[in-house]
Amino acid sequence: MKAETWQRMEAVVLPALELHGTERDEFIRQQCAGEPDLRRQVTSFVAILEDGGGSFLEGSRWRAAELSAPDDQASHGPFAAGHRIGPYRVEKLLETGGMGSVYRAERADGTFAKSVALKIVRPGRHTAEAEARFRLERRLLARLEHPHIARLYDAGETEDGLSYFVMEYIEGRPIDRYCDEEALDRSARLRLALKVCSAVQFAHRNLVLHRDIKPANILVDADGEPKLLDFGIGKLLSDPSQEQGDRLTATAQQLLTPSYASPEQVRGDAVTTATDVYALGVLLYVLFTGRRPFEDADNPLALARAIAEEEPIPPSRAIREHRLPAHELEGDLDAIILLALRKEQEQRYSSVERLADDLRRFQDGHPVLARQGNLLYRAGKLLRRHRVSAAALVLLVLATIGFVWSTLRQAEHTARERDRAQEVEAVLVDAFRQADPLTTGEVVSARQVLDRGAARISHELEDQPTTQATLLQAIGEAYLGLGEAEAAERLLRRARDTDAATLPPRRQVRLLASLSSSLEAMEEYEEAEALAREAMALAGGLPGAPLEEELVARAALANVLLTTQRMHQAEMLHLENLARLDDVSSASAQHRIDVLEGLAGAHLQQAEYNEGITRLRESLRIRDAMPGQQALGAAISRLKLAEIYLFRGEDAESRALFEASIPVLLEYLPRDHPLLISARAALANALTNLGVFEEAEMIYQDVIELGIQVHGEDSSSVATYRHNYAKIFSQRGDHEGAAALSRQAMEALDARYGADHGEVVMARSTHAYHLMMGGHLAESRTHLEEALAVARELPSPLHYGAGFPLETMGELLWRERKPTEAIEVYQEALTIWESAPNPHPKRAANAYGKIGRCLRELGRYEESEDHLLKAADMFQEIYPQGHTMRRGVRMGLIALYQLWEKPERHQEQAALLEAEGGPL
Amino acid sequence: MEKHDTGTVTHLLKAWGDGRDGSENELIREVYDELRKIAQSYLRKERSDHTLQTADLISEAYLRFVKRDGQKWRSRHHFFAVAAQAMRRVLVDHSRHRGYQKRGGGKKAVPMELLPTLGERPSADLVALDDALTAFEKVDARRARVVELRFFGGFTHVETAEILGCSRATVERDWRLAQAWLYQELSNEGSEPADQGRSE
Repeated sequence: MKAETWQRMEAVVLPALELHGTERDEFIRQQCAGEPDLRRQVTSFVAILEDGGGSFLEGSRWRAAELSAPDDQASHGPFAAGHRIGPYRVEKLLETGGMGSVYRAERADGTFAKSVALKIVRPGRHTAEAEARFRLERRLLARLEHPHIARLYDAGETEDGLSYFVMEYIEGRPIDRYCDEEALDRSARLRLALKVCSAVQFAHRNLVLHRDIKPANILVDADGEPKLLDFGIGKLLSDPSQEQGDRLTATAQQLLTPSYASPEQVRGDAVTTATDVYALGVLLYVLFTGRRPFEDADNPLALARAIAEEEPIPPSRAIREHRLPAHELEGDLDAIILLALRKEQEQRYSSVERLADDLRRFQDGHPVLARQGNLLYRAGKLLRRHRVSAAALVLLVLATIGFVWSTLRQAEHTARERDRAQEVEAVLVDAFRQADPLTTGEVVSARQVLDRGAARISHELEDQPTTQATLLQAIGEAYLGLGEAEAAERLLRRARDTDAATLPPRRQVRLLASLSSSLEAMEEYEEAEALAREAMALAGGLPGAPLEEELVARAALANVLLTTQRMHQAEMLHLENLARLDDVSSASAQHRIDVLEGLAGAHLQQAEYNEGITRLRESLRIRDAMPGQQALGAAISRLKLAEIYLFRGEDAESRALFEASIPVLLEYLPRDHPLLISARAALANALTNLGVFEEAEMIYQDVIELGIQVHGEDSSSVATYRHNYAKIFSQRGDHEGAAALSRQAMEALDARYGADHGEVVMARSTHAYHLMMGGHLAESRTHLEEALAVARELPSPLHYGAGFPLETMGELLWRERKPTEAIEVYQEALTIWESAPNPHPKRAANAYGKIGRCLRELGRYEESEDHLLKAADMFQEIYPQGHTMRRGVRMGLIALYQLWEKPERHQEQAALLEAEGGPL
Repeated sequence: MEKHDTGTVTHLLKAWGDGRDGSENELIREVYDELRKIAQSYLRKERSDHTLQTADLISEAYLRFVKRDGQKWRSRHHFFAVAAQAMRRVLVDHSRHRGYQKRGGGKKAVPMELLPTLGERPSADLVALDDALTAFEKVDARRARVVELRFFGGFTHVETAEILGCSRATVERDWRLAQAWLYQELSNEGSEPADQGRSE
């Protein structure tokens, strides 16, 4: 229809509508005279209006679904082989489900050769805040490195808003099918289940819940190793900016796998670690019986009701034909599985670890907890038990060396706090239940949970001050064990202020000692010392002179003294403790370990490395003789040894010790535990020295990021990591980058400790070294002079601390073409490196070589030859064939003989150099 | 999803308000995205079969734009008019997509007898309606606007009158006429394609 036609129609239609019957017909006929088409059109149009055609669009309402983005569905797949999704190319569709499809895919650009599993999901995040949360959680997931967890490599969004996850591609069979097809017996199934538990446990420690554990998500590969898929993906799919996010995830999961949903998921309640415990219970049920606990329900609704309300049939009575004999499940295994399947979260095992422990007890033929009645301790029972284990606790006492020792101590503490923490946990169970660490998306939420527990204790136990103080103390000490000194201090102080006088005196000693340790960690040395002395005084007055309290109090004081550089006094206190052990028959192996390690710390702080190593090796022997209980402690002792070897430049030895201990620590501690961070940083240091830069760099970047989160940007820890990381920049020739990093480190340490601290001297000379390498000689000299002035005043004149600035100064003088002065400085350094009791042959050999070089420059060829040959001999002892240092000194000798015109010796050295191998 | 720069939106709105209509398409696109986002958030919060007034969505979009800009613009009515157009695209695109899936891509005329059930809206009908409305725009642009505002935008007679700057009686009359026109167009569609030029 043309606009003109319509205009003419309209001109007739509008007035016509005002008329009726024949009047209207007449009017239309008049107006359209001579235009039959127009008349027909007008008549028909008016008829439409009369029939209600003028209101057929009234009352429109739209369904929300009609308003959603069509593209989201349009590009949702399925995709054919070759289709590009982000940087990936689809190889094959593996499965489709309600929440998306999974493909086998590969990197389209060929940078990553392996196939990956690529999961496409519907988009659902739009705000910047939600986006940030998504990234944080993605990072948490990406960190889940565990042998039984399929890695999350990557995640992203395509241009058309499609979210995808890229995961390790596992070729395997679902665990239930695998068990049946391989006809595994009970103990083989149990072993598999325990591996799955270890993976879930690991994830929980890293603040990740699985939320959808089921056989289809657990594949067993060709080696018989299970791998969990889809960790935490369910969470990523929900939009945490929506309050209903969790509920929606739960709903989505019900729809997907109702048979494996937990009662709380069916009810739409909060999902917690107990949800995964339940799912593991279902998994065990399926693996041992071939049935799911509630599979008889007819429809999803009936099933949901059964899950929420009905008690499952004991596994031993649910076994399908041709499976395990019923008697293999009766009793213990029934009890374990049913306990995991309790309707109420707080009645299940309180953690996956406890479930696994019970399975292991069963495996080893020990009585299982599940049959010993209610797992949860009531308050009174808890306190009784708590008293016992509190008495069994010896506060870990260790001196500090460098930056690592204080965290080492806290972790050692953690080891023994674990038992107690589990009981405290029972009290805190409610608080834990309320807080799913992922709901808030913050890494600190574990702490918030503890805070909530502490708050509850304050409110609910107001009329029972002693109980209240006891629990506050217990939580405070647990905090201390977790490396949260400030939180510990706050609670311990409250415990003391609540009603310290009503506490038994022995507990008061411990409270004072713990508070002292917290304050020491917070660098509040004066109060820490005062409290430790108070604890000592109190312990000394106790009737019967109990050993524990005496050791604890003395060790607390020794620690403060050590940190505040009164090493000798500290050592005396530790020796006193050692002597007491020999007097007292009740002294346990654990006591001895604590004292030995405290003493080792004191030795090390005084640069008495050989004594330190001896003490540590002795402690390690005791630990290794106590299998089972000491895995963590032994790992920590190894860590300390690794630290010392690192400090002495024995990098390969150090690396081996680190690599033996870090995986053990990862089993026990979360990845952002201060101890793990510092241990990995130290490993990076050893790797740097060994020239393994890439691995070292990855570790540094990770630990700096973690360190900033945990300790803060200006912390001494982060400063240390930066200081050491700078070395890699330097090795790559980026001296400006190295200088910038080392400056950051130096300034942070200076602000923290003041210029006259050994660490600051070290950081300053390192910074000076990088400046020198970058050609900023004058600036470098200023720093070196300041460092040396302080270093010569350090408590122990032969402390290594002075050696490093001297060496750098020597190098600087060499570069300034002042060989005579350089020789003097190197000689001074040599006295440090060669002095008993702590010779440092590597550095000494280096100094000989440098002196030889200066002498050669001065034309004093004979002396030069002596020094260079001495260096060459020493390097021969220290380094493997072909090492840069060995080759370097030979080249120095060749240069000498050329200048000196000694062709035969020149030939001889050239032959030796060639024998080293490598390019000339 | 492309990033929104509300500065751009404001700029576009001003340009549009100043009578430079070339920017209108870009503007519609911006509002289009915003509406889809809001609709999606409704979808997540509520059941997908929940019905809602598109005018509510548009008001929410308006508030978002105003809030982000922190300034009032003169062209509030223009915004609503544009939003109604954007909403029309949102709905039609969705419908077209669904129809495409159902029918394997072919476009079919809507049988007359389905029309009275539009209230419950088998959504494929929207494509035909959209085509008819596009044809109507060429014949009577002003009344086509009324349909956009009333039907897609969900505005009342009074609001529509305010947005278009005319009387309520005019809107009521125009709305009736426009519907009849579309009804007639849709009834004829079985025999003649509404618009040959459209491609999918």
